[in-house]
Amino acid sequence: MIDTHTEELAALFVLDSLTGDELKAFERRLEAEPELAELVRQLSDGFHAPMRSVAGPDRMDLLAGIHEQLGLVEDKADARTPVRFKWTIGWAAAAAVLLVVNIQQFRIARKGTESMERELQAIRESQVVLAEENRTMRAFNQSWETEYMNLAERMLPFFESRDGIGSFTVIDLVNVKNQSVDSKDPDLDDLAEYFLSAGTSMQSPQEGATFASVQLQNNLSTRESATVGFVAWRNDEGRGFLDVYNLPDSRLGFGPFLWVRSKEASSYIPVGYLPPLENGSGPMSFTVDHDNFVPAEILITEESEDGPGKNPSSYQLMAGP
Amino acid sequence: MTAPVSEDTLASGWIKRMSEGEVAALDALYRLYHRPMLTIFAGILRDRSDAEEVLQDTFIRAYREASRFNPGLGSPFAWLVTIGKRLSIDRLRRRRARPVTESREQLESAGDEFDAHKRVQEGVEYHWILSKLECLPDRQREAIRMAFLDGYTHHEIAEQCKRPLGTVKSDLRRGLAKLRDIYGEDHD
Repeated sequence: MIDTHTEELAALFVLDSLTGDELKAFERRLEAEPELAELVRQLSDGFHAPMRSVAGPDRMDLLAGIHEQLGLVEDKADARTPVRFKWTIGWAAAAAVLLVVNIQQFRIARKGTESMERELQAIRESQVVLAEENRTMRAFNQSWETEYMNLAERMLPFFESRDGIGSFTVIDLVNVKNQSVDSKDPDLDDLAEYFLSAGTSMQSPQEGATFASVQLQNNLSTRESATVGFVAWRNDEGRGFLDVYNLPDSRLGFGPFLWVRSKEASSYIPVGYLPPLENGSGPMSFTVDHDNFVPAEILITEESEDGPGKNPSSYQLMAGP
Repeated sequence: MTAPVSEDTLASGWIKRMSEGEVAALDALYRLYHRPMLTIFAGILRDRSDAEEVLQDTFIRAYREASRFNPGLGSPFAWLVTIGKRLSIDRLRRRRARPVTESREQLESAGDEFDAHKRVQEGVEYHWILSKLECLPDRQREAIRMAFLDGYTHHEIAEQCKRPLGTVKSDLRRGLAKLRDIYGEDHD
């Protein structure tokens, strides 16, 4: 029976966090205790298994460098050195024997290589599904990476991400007039969550959101024309980031105005007019003058340039969630 | 009909042949695992060219130390990743310890290098690895992230997170146990 302390040591061993005497003592135990070795193997496999399927770039070209550094590269210059001595029958016979032996060895070596190639081929065939998944993921990675970088370019001025602290809320925005049309753009808030999270805690209404390449592709094209957007709110910093696409032009003398509401409040809090947008698209950063504020609802309305009323007007442009 | 041979069994066989000096075994192992490994090392180092060097160094070390591989303690993939992770963390620590002696001009040109695109690009692999840990509760995920991706010891994690050492160890244990329960059945 393995106790909790030993399980902790096993976890630290798998994560390569044991050092010095503690490591040596644990390695000695591993040799003597098969049950403990089995636990380590299980923990190690469980930890590494999900990472096997990550499809990175194909870099077979780097293999040559490994061969070179291991001194496995053949010296071709020597192999091409011409033979200049005169052959005798005896030398010729010896050379013939050597040639036969060499050919045989070459065949054996080649057979070994071929055998491994066959094994590798067997793996490839048995992993057709995985390979297909990898291809999809790779295509998705590329689209996702591009999107991610575009989004990050807009968000970077507002948030210093990957600092390992804090939690945040992400809310999708849709065109109020077209709410019956499924114009939601879930990949946007997924991207925002990824950008902000970096291992931090997450409090998002989009809990359990997953990526899907098809969905992303569809939404990329949707975003070119549809009125969509999202708000990312850093709970720890008390700051928000709004990103909108294709907001329709306001009537003369009016402008788009942002409102927010927390879960506890019954009325919206006025935040401010949106800055000038390019073709109805662009980002903005905002704060709300309330302690421990976390937005639960977002609204963009058209308000008179003379100033908004106490409550949002009925000319609603976008709302979320 | 022959029984299917698992990937781990084949790869273990290649490591054994590597220990006997077979270059073809090295090639086969590299072909099978270099892509996910490169992603993992890029995730730890946040630098793809450094990750490529670590990938090469990992296979060089694996070839030279193939006889030390013990299949009873984990898969060939885990063994290779552990070698590369150590090399990556060594680089990370050297990077962290490197004194800042650059001139103003050098700093300015370095600033150009760290533009938004580059910073984000370097973080993509990091995020992908994190996504594999999303099934864990926050504290366990954070502890494993710091141990695996950032190279902190459990003592350092306790210090940085201001948590008792016992809590950190417990988080790591529970986190790995949960990953085992979720993913452990997938292979072999």
